[in-house]
Amino acid sequence: MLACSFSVSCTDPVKDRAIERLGGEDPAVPMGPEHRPGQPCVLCHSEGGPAADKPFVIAGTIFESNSKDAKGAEGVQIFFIDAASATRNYETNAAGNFFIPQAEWNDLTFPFKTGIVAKDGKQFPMTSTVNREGSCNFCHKPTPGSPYSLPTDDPRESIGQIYASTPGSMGGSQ
Amino acid sequence: MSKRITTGLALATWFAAAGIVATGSALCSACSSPDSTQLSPLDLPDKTQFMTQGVGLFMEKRCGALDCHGQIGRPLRIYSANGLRKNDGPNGTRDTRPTTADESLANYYSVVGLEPEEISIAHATKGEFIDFLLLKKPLGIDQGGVRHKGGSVLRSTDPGFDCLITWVSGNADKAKCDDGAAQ
Repeated sequence: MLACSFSVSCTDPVKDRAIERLGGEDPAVPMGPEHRPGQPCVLCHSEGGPAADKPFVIAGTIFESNSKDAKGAEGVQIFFIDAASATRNYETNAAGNFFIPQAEWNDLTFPFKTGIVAKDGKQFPMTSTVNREGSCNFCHKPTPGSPYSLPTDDPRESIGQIYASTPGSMGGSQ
Repeated sequence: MSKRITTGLALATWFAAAGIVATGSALCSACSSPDSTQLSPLDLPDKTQFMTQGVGLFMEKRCGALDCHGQIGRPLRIYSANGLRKNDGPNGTRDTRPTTADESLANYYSVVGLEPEEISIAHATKGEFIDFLLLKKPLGIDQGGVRHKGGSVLRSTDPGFDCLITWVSGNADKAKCDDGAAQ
């Protein structure tokens, strides 16, 4: 009983509820870099989360289009510039996911800018900065009706999924 | 033994009754209506200026991102076209209209409701008094303000800071607000 109460008092109930709302794993997708596209990755991949042993500083998903039927877009380049002018470039995997492990950018300084790089090298930046949230999908939730959309996703709280319907184009962002 | 139990029950009943009376009395007192003649009207910064002179736009752009104050669970809630919407769009989709007047008005009440008494004093003194959260929070500790979870997001020399000061003082500077929003 005592251990239980200690255990409860050491967790963040808001975070716990948010993680619970994500639901279980898709049995068709092994747990790993391609799991849970469209979900707020850093929620679990951070201190106090079930994947705290693999912490990320930034992570998200880019879809092929803005359609609810869109799949994750593979091979899309994303660039980041933080408030200390440090830069990073990453590429989406087969699920459209990308992630920056904490060990690879431990001194990331918010706010940061980001965007997609077209195959011809042209950059399509997000027009606003990211101020404090490392999970891109926290603001860019999947299009309602998408198999990746959660029943609890509220369209009032989402600017739309990030997508690359033509090489390098970026939608659903500011 | 039986008498003791009876006596004990009687005492318990007496204490319970006394407790109910005391609690009821306290509740009655707590539930009495405030004296409406004692209300002090607040002299708040202008609503129309907030909505038309770029103050609201500045707040939307610089404070209302979905990962900042564009969140339902966070104080100083700010609605905007590119952040949190007040209502859904058709069929449960996202509302894609520009920020509505209803949202802008809600933002005004959110801003003046942060510290109504203090912002009222600032308005009455035409900006002489600047010791209130709307100005101190965005500066963060680094810039001489107070702790802000989002850190230091303005400097006192920024046009956005002037936007807020001029609005609170009674004459919002639209150019400063627009500059501040664009930064």
